[in-house]
Amino acid sequence: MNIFLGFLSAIFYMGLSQNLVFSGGFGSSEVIRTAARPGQLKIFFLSITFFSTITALVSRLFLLFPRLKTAEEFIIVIVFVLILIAIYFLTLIFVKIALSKSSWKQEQKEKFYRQISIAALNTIVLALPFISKKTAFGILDSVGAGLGAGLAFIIATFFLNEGMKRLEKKTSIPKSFKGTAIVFLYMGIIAMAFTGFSGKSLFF
Amino acid sequence: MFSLITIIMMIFTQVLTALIFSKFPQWIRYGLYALSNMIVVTGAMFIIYKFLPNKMSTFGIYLPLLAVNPVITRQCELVAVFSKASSALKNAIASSLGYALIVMIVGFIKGLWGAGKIFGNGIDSYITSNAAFMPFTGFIILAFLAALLRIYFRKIDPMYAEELTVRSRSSLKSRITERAKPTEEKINVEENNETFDKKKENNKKIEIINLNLKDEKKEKQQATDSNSADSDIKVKIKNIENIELEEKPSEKNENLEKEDKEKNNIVDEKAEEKLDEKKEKTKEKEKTTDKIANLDMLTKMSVEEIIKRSKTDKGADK
Repeated sequence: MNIFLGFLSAIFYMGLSQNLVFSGGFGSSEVIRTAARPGQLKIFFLSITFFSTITALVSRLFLLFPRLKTAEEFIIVIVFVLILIAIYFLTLIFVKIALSKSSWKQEQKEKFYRQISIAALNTIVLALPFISKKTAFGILDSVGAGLGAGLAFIIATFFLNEGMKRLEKKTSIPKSFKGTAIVFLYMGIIAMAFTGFSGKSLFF
Repeated sequence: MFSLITIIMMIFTQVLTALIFSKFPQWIRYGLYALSNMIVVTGAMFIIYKFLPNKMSTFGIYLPLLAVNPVITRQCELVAVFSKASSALKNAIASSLGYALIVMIVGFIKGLWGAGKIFGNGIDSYITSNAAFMPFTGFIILAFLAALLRIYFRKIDPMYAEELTVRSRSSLKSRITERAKPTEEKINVEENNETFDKKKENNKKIEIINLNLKDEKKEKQQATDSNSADSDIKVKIKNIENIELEEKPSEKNENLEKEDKEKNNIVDEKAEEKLDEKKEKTKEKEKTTDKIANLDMLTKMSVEEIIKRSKTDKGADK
């Protein structure tokens, strides 16, 4: 029961209270990209959830080796990055084999691979093993953190997409703030609100 | 330090992309970018660990995350893949300097507000806040920098300032349609003018053709009146020929003979009918000419002579 609660709290922690995008600033470029093109949301959400969960789980399993526990930080960086790249290549090889007999056009396939690549090799995915190590997550907690990263991504995309739609209709925004500036400002205000969930003090 | 590492990483990866990585497919390239970035990051971390161990903790987890920096990946995919090593190097230096400048400005403001320090050197600051070290401050600073950049580009190149903005796909579509509308309208007006002139010409042509057709119809009607029987035969022959074409080739030979006979019979019958009709017509014509001759004679004769003739005719009949 405690293990399951830990798993749920990890999802909640990564997705809401410590939203990786707003509270950590991870994967913000992908969130802006997906919010501007909501058609890509499904692929990005699934890819980020999959890669973050698998990477967090595998890197946590690697940390069970006693030599890695006491290794220097740059060695751990090498290990985590290599794990992510290996998972990325294996997944794409599997996807390529699966799509080899599909009726998709070559352009569609290329676009799909590109979207997976952008989602996989992303700061929100690579940040998870480091956060898991720092917060001493267990194996199931790491899986929960991976799922929480997907949740964080979809929440951030939803907020940003809705905000962008409404902001574009506003005529009262100064001309110099229209476009990118107002999107960043809106993102900053939402991030401030999410920081409130974390319980951190802002001024003292 | 962070900016310096980014500059080295961007130059290293972009030059490698122009020289080697561009030969690989895109999905492999993405992995290779992460690998080359990882080499630079771990090298930099190793140097920092050896020579400046106290600085290591200040980077946190953000230094390793440079391995998957989307700015580097984007620059490699947009420029370095399609260019030579020299131009990739130039682009890497320019883009990394721009990136470093933004990082330094944001870092400067955050350091000043958060810790009362400028590049690590303490100053007397009135207000310091933990909020400065949180990501939302970074977003807000970036928003103001983006607004400044927009003001600058709106003065120099307004079109480029528009291109720089982040927009949702729906708004982009609506903008494209709005821009396309006036040109479409112009084209429509031009087309309408052209079509109006063309219509005029066409109407004239149609009138001439109709007149010609009427004349032709009249001629045809006259011809058909005289040759109606012949045309009927032709039509029937044509129908038979069409039926022949539709039928299978194996049955064709058998059917052909039958139909030839039928054709001949039809032609014979029609020819006989035609002759009969002509004979009847000639008889009628003779009758009518006789009547007309009699009438002429009667008009020439007086009333008394007519009575005498009638009496003699009656007596002869008796």
